[in-house]
Amino acid sequence: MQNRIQELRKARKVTQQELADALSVTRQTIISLENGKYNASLILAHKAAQFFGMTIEKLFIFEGEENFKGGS
Amino acid sequence: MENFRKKVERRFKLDTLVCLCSLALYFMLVFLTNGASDIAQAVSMGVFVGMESFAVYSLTRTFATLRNEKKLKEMYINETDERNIAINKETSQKSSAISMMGTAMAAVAAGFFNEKICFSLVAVLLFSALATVIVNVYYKRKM
Repeated sequence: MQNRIQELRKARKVTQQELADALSVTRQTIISLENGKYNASLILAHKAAQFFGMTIEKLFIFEGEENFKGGS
Repeated sequence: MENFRKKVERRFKLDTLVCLCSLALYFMLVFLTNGASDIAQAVSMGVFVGMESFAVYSLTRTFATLRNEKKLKEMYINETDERNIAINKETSQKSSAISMMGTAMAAVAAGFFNEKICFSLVAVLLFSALATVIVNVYYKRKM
């Protein structure tokens, strides 16, 4: 799943560490989210959306059923 | 954060208990297995030193963390970070499967040389499989 975290973070001049502190996660998690290596949980997605002041749908781009690991 | 501090304090008490229990267990074993073979004594000594070292390391780390708010926050983030939790879950699942396969292969190989070792390994394998099934059933009912 793609997201706009890096784009929004840079636009607001927030460092990865500052964002990590605000979301109570490690900086490595922010890096993995930005690189698309890790998909955030619903709770983290909600926290991130609150941080950027937008809805989850606008922050995370859902690309379809291929995102489901166990999908048929 | 206050809940996490209480959790760390409980961990500190538990580590102290492990430290004292392993010390008591070791001296009890030394007393009970006075005429035991060298290898048995060496193994019990090794297990004792290992447990004690880990407990002392953990005690020192926890003690230092409890006295430093910044370190406590770092520990909280490291332990509650969802990516770290996901990595730990994946690691334990994969390593458990790999070690069970390794044990199974070792049991087959040992069967050609020593019956006792082969049956011991099969027992370990069965115990691991049983533990996995029990834990799996527990979480299926819990979630």
